[in-house]
Amino acid sequence: MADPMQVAIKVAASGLEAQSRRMLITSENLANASSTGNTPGASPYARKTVSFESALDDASGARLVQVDRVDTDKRPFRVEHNPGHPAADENGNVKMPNVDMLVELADMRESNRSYEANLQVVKQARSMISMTIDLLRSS
Amino acid sequence: MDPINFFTIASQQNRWLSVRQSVVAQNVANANTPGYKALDVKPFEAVLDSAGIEMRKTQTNHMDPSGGVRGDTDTEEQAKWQIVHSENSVSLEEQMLKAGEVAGAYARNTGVMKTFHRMLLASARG
Repeated sequence: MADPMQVAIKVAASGLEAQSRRMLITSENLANASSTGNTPGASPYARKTVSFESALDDASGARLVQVDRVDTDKRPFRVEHNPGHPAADENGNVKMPNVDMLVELADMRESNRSYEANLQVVKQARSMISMTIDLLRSS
Repeated sequence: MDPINFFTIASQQNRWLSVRQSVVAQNVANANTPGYKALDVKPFEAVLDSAGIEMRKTQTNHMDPSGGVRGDTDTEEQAKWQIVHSENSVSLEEQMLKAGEVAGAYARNTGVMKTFHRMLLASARG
């Protein structure tokens, strides 16, 4: 069996990876919050969602975390009246992305918090390893 | 209890603590995984109790029955602090608290081990 401390660091690293993927998706959503189509009636950018799943690590028996899949949000698009827009349909309505700034910011804050927690676990595991190594030093 | 036994218990507890730390890491990593239930290791007392009855190796070609450690990697679902809509029962605050507890106990353990080692060395030097 692998050293539990190394396993702890490995698991936390998978958490960091997953949370940074989530942050990437959030930033994509925020950046495209007003990306519309180019042709009349075209669909704009659809908000992306990310979901996690836990995966068994064969070497250690620990449950890592990984990104399960990235989907698009099924919510309807916002409609704005803007007849001069290239994506406006015959009534002058433009479909805007279904991105909600508040939701994205809350999501970002949550993934930030989880990232910090994983980082804290790595730090603590490292300090515990060095405590053991310090047994050999001094005296 | 002779002092040599102390080293056995101390290293056994350190091993238990490091398993617990890896379980905490697992819980924290899966803090946003739908359906994930927070785990914890069995308390150290249970490990100590089970360590009493152990099969002995009476011949060199017997297999080691335990592979060294026993009982300390068992995990169980823990009582829930909170449960959210996605059926995830990990509370980050609780896990951080636990990680701090583990690190503190580990520091205490290695500190006492170091002191014992110094005492042994002092008596060996004469």
